[in-house]
Amino acid sequence: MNFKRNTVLAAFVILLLYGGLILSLGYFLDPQEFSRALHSPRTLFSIRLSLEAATLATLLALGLAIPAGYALSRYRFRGCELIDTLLEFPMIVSPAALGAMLLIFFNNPAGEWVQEHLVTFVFAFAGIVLTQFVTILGVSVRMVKSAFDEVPVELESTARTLGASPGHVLRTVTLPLAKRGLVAATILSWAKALGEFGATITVAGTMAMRTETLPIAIYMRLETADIPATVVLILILVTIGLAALFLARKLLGRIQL
Amino acid sequence: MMVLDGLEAKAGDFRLGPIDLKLPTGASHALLGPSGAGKSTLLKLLLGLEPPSAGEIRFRGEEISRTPVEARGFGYLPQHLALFPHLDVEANLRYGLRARGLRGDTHEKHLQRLIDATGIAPLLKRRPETLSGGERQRVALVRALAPRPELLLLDEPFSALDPALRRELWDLTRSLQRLEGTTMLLITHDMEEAFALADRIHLIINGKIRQEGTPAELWEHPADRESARYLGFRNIFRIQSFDRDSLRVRLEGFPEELIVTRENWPETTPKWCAIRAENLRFVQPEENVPNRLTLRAVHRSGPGVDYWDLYDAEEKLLLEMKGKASEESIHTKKCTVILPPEKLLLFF
Repeated sequence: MNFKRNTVLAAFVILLLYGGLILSLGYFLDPQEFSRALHSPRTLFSIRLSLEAATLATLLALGLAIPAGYALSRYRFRGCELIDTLLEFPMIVSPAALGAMLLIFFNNPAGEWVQEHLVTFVFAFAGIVLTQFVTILGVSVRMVKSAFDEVPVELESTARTLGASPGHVLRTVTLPLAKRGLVAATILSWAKALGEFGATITVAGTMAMRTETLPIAIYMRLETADIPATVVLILILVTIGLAALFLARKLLGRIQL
Repeated sequence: MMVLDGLEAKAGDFRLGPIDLKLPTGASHALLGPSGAGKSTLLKLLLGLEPPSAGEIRFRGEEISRTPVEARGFGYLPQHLALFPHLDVEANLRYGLRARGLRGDTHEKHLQRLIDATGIAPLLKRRPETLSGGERQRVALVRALAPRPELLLLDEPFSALDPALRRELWDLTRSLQRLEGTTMLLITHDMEEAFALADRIHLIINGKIRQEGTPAELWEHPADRESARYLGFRNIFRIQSFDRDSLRVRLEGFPEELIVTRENWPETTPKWCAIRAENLRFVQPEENVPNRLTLRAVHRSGPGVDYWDLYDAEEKLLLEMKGKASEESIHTKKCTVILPPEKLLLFF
């Protein structure tokens, strides 16, 4: 029994650690300050900017992840192993390095041309979206692929023998059966984009009311020693993030195949 | 008529074919062979899930080896049945009709007839996961037949059922196939299943069709030693020497020469001699008949199957017997049998 008790104890250390960190915010929480910070135009801007950027980055990532994840789940092709390995690339490279790589790209002739003729990324909203997109793409594809892996290929081939075209099979068999996994992938990608900091700050900088997403706002308030405002911003981020995690967990837990 | 002409495929190190095969319309066929023989690969080629590396598949005179799966119009009953878990039974049954845009009275009546024939009407609103093994089989069968496929392909769909239920579903499948007039091709490794369901059996071993014929033809006259072994022959012995003129063979470990018939003599040099356990006959020791052997009881292996050993042989040589020995033989553990010459098959 000692063995079981010790392992369970280790599990509870996790709760103690994260729970303790969240609870310790309460020490600096002043209701009046909370209301003031929550209603300040700067905070509201940060919330809106974060939600918009994360949503856009998630939609872009899924737009690529759904077809790519399907291909990686269903077909063996030249280069598929390499692509599969690269999915973990953003995770192993430090966010600062990833952001720096984007900056370096926009400073080479091709990148400069894009900035001049197409879209300005550096220190701009588009830069935030692009950075978040690059950061979450790998993990989005990984989760979408897992969702498709859960759908037996035999169901698809049987549907085709019944007269359904590949597109019809995707709509009537594959997507409905992968639905929960896909929704969970969307939520987790979105939560990851929302919390992205290292790469975003490298590409978009710290400009109040311009590129100040929630994580960047937290960093900026902390830098000026505005602890109460920092606490408010953290609580907002924590609430949104945890809600997303629980929702995703509920959806993933109900997958039965 | 479905014609396979020099059909070949590669899957890793495995090579299938070249396969030449004719499946006349309306008949029930079985592709019988051990696992790893290439049955599933051939099935994928027929369904259109994989392209062949060479050769042609012609259906009603039209080359279809590059035609997409959905345009071939073949029904398919996969091994795990593949009922759609997110749809109820009725939506499963109608999936093919909807996908092919088949509407109207004729199709409705046809579907209703299939539902009635299989007795699945009470299941229509149920989800597949709530059905029993037999119910799932029936639903999958009706779903495959609903769009009236010209060819129905079955991939060992009965392997997970208990023996009694399997027999029941064999009968049901056979009667539906006859009722619908569908050409059927059953892929199986189970000899009994192939014999129960098929008018013609195509034996596939190591990626090649070794033999085709009616179940009776295969039962009586396997084409070679490997086919014989696969078709249930256990008594297969190496030929030590033979004389073509006097039609005599000496088998390794046997005390005397055996007489065989000219009909069973192969075109090439015979190397193996085989006889079915059912064809060995117990006789009285004093009976003077050719190919007589004295045997000693060894052990009983299953219902109605006994193993006997050659009585005077130096090395152990087992013979499988079916049929009942006399009380005396059982008591003395000694018996006399004959190997009827016309039942002794010779293979290269």
